[in-house]
This record gives sequence, C-alpha cells and structure tokens, in this order.
Amino acid sequence: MKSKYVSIGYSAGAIGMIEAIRQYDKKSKILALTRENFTVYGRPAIVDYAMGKIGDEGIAYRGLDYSELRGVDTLLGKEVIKIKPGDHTVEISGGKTVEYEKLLLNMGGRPISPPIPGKELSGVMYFFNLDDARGMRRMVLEKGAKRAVVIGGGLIGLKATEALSHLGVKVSIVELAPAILTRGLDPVGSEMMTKKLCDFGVDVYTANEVAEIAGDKKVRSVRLKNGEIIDTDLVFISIGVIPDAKLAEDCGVKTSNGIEVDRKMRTSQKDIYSAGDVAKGYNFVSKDNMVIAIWPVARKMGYFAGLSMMGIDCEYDGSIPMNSLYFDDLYTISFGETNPSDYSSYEVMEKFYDERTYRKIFIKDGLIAGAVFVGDISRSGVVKGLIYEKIPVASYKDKLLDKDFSFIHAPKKYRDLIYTFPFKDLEAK
Amino acid sequence: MLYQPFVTNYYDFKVVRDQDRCIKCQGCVTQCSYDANFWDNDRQMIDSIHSKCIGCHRCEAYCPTDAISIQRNPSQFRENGYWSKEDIKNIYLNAETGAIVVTGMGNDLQSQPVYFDRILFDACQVTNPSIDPLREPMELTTYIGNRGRKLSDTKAKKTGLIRLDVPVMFGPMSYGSINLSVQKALAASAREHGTLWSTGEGGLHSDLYEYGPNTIVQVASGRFGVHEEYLKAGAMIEIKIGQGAKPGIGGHLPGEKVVDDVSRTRMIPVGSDAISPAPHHDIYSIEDLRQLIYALKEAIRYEKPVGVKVSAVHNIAAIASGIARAGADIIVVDGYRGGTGATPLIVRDHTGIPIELAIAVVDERLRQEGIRENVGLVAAGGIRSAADTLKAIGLGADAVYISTAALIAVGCTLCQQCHTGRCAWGITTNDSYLSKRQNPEIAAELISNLLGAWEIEMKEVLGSMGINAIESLRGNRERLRAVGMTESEMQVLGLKQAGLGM
Amino acid sequence: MKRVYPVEEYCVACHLCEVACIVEHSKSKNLFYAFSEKPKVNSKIEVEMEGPISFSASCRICEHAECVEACPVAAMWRDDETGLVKVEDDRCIGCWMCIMACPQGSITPRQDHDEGLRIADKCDLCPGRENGPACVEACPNNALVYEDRDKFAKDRRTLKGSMHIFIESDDTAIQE
Repeated sequence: MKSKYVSIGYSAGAIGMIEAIRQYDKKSKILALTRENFTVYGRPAIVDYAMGKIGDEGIAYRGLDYSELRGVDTLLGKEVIKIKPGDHTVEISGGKTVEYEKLLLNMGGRPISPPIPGKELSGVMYFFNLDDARGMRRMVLEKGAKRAVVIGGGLIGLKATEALSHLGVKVSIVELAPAILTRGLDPVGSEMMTKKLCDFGVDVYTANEVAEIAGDKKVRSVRLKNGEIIDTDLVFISIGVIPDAKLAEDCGVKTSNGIEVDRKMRTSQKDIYSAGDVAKGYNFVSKDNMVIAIWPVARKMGYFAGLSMMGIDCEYDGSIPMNSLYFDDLYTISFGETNPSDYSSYEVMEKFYDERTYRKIFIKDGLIAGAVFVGDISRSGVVKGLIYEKIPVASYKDKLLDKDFSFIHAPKKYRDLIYTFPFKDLEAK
Repeated sequence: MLYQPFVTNYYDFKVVRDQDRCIKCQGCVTQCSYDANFWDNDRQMIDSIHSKCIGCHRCEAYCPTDAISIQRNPSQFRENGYWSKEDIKNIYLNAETGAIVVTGMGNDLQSQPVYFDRILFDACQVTNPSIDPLREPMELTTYIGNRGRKLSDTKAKKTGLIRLDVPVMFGPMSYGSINLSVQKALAASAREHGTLWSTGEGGLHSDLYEYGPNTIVQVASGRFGVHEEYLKAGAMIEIKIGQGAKPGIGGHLPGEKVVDDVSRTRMIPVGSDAISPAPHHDIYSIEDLRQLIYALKEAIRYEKPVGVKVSAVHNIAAIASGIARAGADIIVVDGYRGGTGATPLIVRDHTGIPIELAIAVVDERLRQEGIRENVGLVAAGGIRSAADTLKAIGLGADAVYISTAALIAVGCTLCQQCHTGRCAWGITTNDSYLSKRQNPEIAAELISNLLGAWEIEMKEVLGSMGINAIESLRGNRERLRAVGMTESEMQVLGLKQAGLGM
Repeated sequence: MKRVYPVEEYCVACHLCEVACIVEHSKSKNLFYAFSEKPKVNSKIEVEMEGPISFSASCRICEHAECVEACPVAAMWRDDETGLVKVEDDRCIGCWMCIMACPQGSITPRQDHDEGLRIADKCDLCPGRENGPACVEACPNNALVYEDRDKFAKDRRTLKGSMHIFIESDDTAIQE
C-alpha cells in the first residue's frame, strides 16, 4: 500500500505532524502505524485512566474518532519489522509493505529493564502505556492487590504512585539517588514532595535499590540492598526510558542514544524525519541536542517535521525540559535546568513562602536558565516565555520570585511585541 | 484621631457602603486617589477612612453593584446662621498650619446672588412669530475682533476677525493644571465645532501644535512657555492680566503637579512651584499695555488678533475702555465665579464682581464712547449652560468662555481638590497613575457632545424668541427681563422689571 | 480574527472587566450570586498592576497555540472553523500542562475542592454574546478593544517555533 506521509508510532509526534499537514493539505494520504491496539491517546493521562477518572473516550486524543476527523489511515497492533530507505518502503508484521514519500519515525521510548532477579514474576509491571494502566486496574480491582513497590522515584514512578494510592494500595517507593525526582525538581522541591508523599502514607526509600524480587510465580516481596524485606503484591519498574531507536539504527539512520535530527527534523536518511521521545531535538538553553521526553516537546517536533515534509521553509528553534508534576494537591512546575551539576556557575534565587510553597530561579549569562515552582503555579508559563524569547533578566530580576510575577513585569518592548501593534493615534475629527 | 490635628475629625463626607451589596471587587480601592478605601485582610472586607474622603464620587461611580453612597457627615456643629462650619474649619486650619487655605474651582458661596438665575428670556406669542429651528436656518456664527470702525490712530494696521461657528469657546486651563489628554480633547472638539480653545499659562505642548488654527495662545505674567514659534502657532494671542477666581494675584501651579512633561513645556524645573507674579512686570500703566500689545502684533506681523483678559473688578468699565483704546482686538472679562486649579480661598470667595454686571457695564460704556465695534467682548466666569451663554450675550458679550463646564463634561464633580494633584477623575493632574483615567478619545466625544447639545438648546431658545441669528441677541436687553432684583441692580444691568412691556 | 487587546495607556485598574467576566460565565448571570456560586467562577481576564502601569490581559488565541500543543487529551483545542482556542471542561483532566505552556500566563487553574473540580480555565471570547466580549463592553475607559489586527502582522518569514508572532532574528535580544 502507498501513502504520501507515513508515521511509525502514533503519539504526540505523529499528532503534530498530522496537524501541520492537515492545516495546509486536506487530501494527501497519511498513514499511522502503531504496535498498540488502541488509537492515538494522551500518554500523560494514563495516571487518570488508571485512577478511573477517565475511560477510553476520555484518554483517546480528541475522542475515539480523531483519525476519522483528520482523515488519517491507521494500522493498529502492527509491529514494523524493517525500514528500507532506498525503496521508500516499510515492512510490517504480517508480511505487508507500505510505500511512503515521507516517513516520520515516532517510535518513542521504551522503559529500561534493570537486571533484577525475579522480574519475570507475575505482578511485575511497568507504567508506561495504556495497557499498563489497564493492567494496574485489573491487578488492583480484580485481583485485589493491596501493596505495591515502585522501583524508581522519578516522574513515572510518581505517577504510578499516585494512581496506586488513589486505588487504595499501600505504596513503597525505592529510589537509587539520595532524593526522588532529581530530574524535574531541585532538592528542595524534592524534599517537599517527599514529605507530601509520606503524609499521604507512602513509604519512600532513598539511596537504596531493590536487589531481588521474590515470590513463586507471583510476586510476594522484594529485598532491598540493605537487606530489608518489603512484602508486596505488585512491583512497578520505572527507572527510566530510553529511545526505541533500533529500527532506525538498522536501516542506517544516524543515532547516538536517540535519533539525530537537524533543525528541520530531518534524519541522516533522505525523506525520513523524526520527532518525539525517540529523537534528539535541539535544547534551546544548553544549546545541544538531547532527548526531551515530554508531550508538548514531542508534539512541537512533530509539527515542524510535518511542515518540513511539506517543503515549507521552517526552523525548529528548540525546546527545553519542562514538567508539570503533582501528587494529590501539591502541584509543581519546572523548566530547564533544575539540578545542575555545576551549581556554582549559576546565579540562584529562591524564596520560601510556606512549607509547601516555594520558588527557585537559575540564571546564567543574564538569562533565565531554569525555574522550579512548588505550590503556586499560576502564570508560571510566563517564565517559559521569557526563557524562549531570551529576554535579559536585568529589568525584572527583583520581581521574579514574587507570587504575582507576570507579564506586566517583563520589559514593555516584549509586551508590545506580544501584543504587536501600536496604539492608534488620536485622530482629530 | 491619632497623630492628626483634630480638625481632621470634622470631615465632610462619609463613604457609606452597603456590605450586602459589596462583591469585594476592590474597584473602589484602586480608584480612590485619596486612600480613603482599603481592603481589610483580617476581616476580609472593604472599609473606608471617612476623614480622607473629599467627596469626588469616583468610587461610587465605578462600583458595579451600586453599593456605595457618598453622604454628608451627619456630625454637625450647632446651627449658626453667621458662623458656618466652613468658617469654623478655616480658622482651625489657619491655627494649625499658619498657612493660607488653598482651594480649587470657583466661588461656591450661596450667600452671594446669582444674577443669571434672576434673568429671564422673552418668547414670541401672537404678535410676532417664533422660528422653528428645525425648519428655518438659524445662525450661531459670530465674528470677534476689531470690526473696523475708525480708530483715532490710523497708522495702526488692522488685524482680521476670528470666525466662531458657535459663540462658545473653551477658556484657558493650563497644561499642568489639567491633564494633557483633556487639552487634546478640548482642542479636537474646538476644531470639530469651529471654535477655539486656550493654552492657559502653561505653554503649548508639542503634540498640540497641529491644532494651532483653533488655539488661543496665552501670554501671562510668568511668560511660561512663551517663545516665537508659540506666538505664531495660535489663532489669537491673549494677554492675561487677571482671572476671575483670584483677581489681582498671579497663577499658581503647586510643585506636586510639575512633572516631567509639564516642566518641559513650561520651561521650569521639575517639582518647582510655578508661580506667576501678580502684575506683568513690564506692564505698570495702560501705555505699557499698549506697548506690549503692539510688540506682540509686530511679532506675528498683524496676522492675528491680540486680546486682553482681565478679572471683573469695580472699575471694569473704565479699564475695558482703556484696553480697547490701547489697541486690543478682543477683551475677555472674567467674573468672580470663574474656576481655577489653585487659589487662596479668601481671595476666591471675596474678590471681584459677577460677570453679569461686568459685561453689562462694559458693553454700555464702550457703546457710549463709540468704540464698541473696535473690540470683541467675551464673557467668562461661571457659564453653566446654554441659558447662561445666551444671557451673557444678551447683556452685551459677543461670545463666552466655558471652562468648569467643559471639565464637568468629562467627569468633574467639583470636589475642589484640584490643587492637590490627586484628581481621582484624572482631569486636573498629570500624575502617571491618574492621568490615564482621561482617555482623550472618550473625552473629546463628551466635550463635543456638550457643545453640540448647547448648540441645539441655543437654537431652541433663539427660535422661541423669534431671532434667527445670534448677533441679533447681542446686547439686546429688551429681550431680557429681571426678577427679584433691586432698582439699582436693574439699572446697572440695563434690564427692565419682568412684567413691564416694551 | 478579532481578539481582545489591552490598551495599557488607558487602563485604570478598576477591575470592572473581571466583574463582567465572572458574571457572564456564571450560571446565575446575577451580579450578586455570581460571586458566591458553586463551583467557584473565576475571571478569565486578569488585571495586572505594577506601579502606575496596569492592563488587563486575557488569552491571545495565539497563531501557534502552545496550550493546544501541551494538552495530552485535546481538551484544549482549536476549532477548525472559527480558529478559536477553547478548553472543553468535560475532557479536561486538570494536569495543567497548558498552564505550564502558556507564555502569557493567561490560563488559570480552576479549583473547587468542595465540588471536586480541577480543570484549566481560559478566555473563550464570550461566544454567542450579543455585544461581543463582556470585558470589552464593561471597560469604562476603552482600555480593552475587540478588533482584528491580523493585517498588521509581519510577513511570514522563516517559521520559528514557540512564537505566536514571527520574530525577526534581530529582535530576540530585547533590551529595555
């Protein structure tokens, strides 16, 4: 079969590509391939799905008929075997071949599987996609799981913890680093979140790791490095995600812990583009390319890939890591650099409002390099805008830590730029 | 009240707030420029410091739920027909500060008579037909200036007349005493209605030079902002000898109101009081005045008329005669009800004479001397309506100035705090927080509407009098009658008692 | 398309725009009840004040809408026909990634713990309102205008990311 635009993977990156193409071209064929047995959905929302707050219609991106809305052909539950850039074809499981003019590699990432003995036991899961969310619900609601150990106190681990806690499961988090959420929050924010978790009844083990998962066919307990045993019914592994780039590597696309792309989202192979968690996009602040596995970033990369595929002159000017993390009623948002290794090369400003409201800004070379907001997240996006537009910090630095810091504190020229047009001069009648 | 002189307790107004209607939007808190309203975080409600309220009604106007009512402080001194509460408070203030009591706007005393309210128009009935202004042409146009009767000094060249499409002009209000946005609005309206507005003694701001053909440029005793280009920019030059609100003393702009732009236009340092001397220090006699008039005429090459503005005082008839013979093309007489941005209370309320009397005697004297046509005569000082305008014209004026009325059109509530620079309506201030409150576009529309409405009202009255041209009403005492006046008042005004026929 | 633009020069911080917005988006549409309604109704336009400067800012309906980009379930969505960006309360899961994304801070968290409500809130230009957006009508000093300024947009140069207008490279270093 032939399709002008093909996407391997049907998630944020593909959505971006589809939105870009359909903005200009309502007719050309677009085909999306996915190994999952479900239409495109919002992966960040699996926590809400697992909690039961939303169902299939709610998690599917724009509802179950998005593909129909945008005129996208889909092949669900199909694994891609091989890409042949020379022939412009893709071979999929079941023997079919798809011919493309432009191809998007949107395979995303896959969870890292650590070498822990016992991980093949029943009850050991990941919390990565919709099937995992369904699995969690099944284990708790049908199989009556009461306790869980979450390996890895990062972003995904936190989400898994929230879902499990909401379902009434007693959770223990085991984190290798001295603090949870080292990517995404700074040490202070991390401590506040830890306290929140503990108040909620979650046990948090830091500077520790699971040495062994024990049980007979089903999980019964885990043994920590320090010898402690935790009885449990479920184990969720969430120690990280790496780009699922094997297909790309195999067909000659240049990778280095992620698919390399230029500012027009092109890979090293002609007519093949990449976006999303599998690709290394440009980081605006650190000025190098890296994988930023965040939904809006993936979506934007996909959008530019789409434009690029259509031959429209464009340049992806990059993204930065950004996170919206929350647990129960403690909200946090962070941008850019939150936990730098070279701490002393930044100017750091921080302010505590109370034990769960806090703000921290990292400044380098007169520009904002990162920010952490805990508790009060209103208008936090303004900081992101200032980072993106590279507005020098000098004129508003003293206001940055205020709770009501907003658009009005930015330089007038920046405001005018956003509102763009000068006030009409008074005309005498 | 703690740390305050006790005269503070005798405040005039209370901010009465219906807490059931208050939605706590805090609009009244942001709008009060006198800090009378505040948000009480402990009690989670809005409250007011009554002693700070000066009765400008801004909060009341902006309250979306009509929860506020500004009311007179019920706390009263014992009634006294002689010692009023104001008299008593002024003594307290003098005693406390040792300084003069300064105030704004015009004489507000009720104890002095208002002659306008005792003058009535005639109307046509039976023997002579009235005119329907909707059907017949009605002429409000008039010309002011020297109408060309022979002068004894024929060597002096004559300057042209100014045409006014409506016999109402905007009086002098300086930049600094009022907001630049309001000046812009006045200028735009003047242009739209074919009349003039005045710079006052604060100079002409660079943004307003485009309105030059409709501008009266004033030369006052302080000579603020006066330079060659300025003189040439206007349609008329006005030498200001005095103003009705404070005859005999000079203009006063408190330092608080001299902000950057004001200082630049006036050519004085920021924050310094702009005090104009009482006399022009180059005018000590009528001959000096003549010299200045002709010096200015030379400077603008006789292209435009030069007028002189004086306060209405006892000898106003003789003074006006002297000014006409000194070569002025236009005489403006400013009565004692005229407004101002800052004046000592004692001068405002007790000096000068009413404009009605002044215009009447000036018009009469100039006619007797045969020089009435050599000058245009403008009445100013408390013209409140189209009726006052027509009465002033009937008593002898060619046209009138309105100033207080124009400010009321853009929101002024006559709270008399202009001198503080904290005008909550943004009218008499250029403070960066407050001047935004006057949007020049909206203000221009309001003032324009005011003139438009008065034009129609004037036409209605003229029509009912059977007159179809404003110039037919000028000095036409026969069409006016007096009520409730004494013989001598009627004599001075030249009016008959109502009830008497022709 | 027509948008609501603030005019900094004429805002007097009277907050009447906020009052009008709350009343317009309340169920009761009554000036008094709107403020005590459950779930709590917020204003979608916010008056910002800093010294003498004030203006009231609401959603700009960016050409490149980062909030739509950020929403994982497409609750924040641009209508294909009208071009308006709107948040659909029923789909919104309250993850607030849109708040993180909006470079103008125009999206607010809408919470009501008693009612168990947690969603994102944003200006919707008062669809169906006869006289146009309520805030524009309520402003007493013409500090909010509802007009189409698209014709003033600069030519489309190389499309750059993030910006909701297209900024030329030499404009990016904005000094005061």
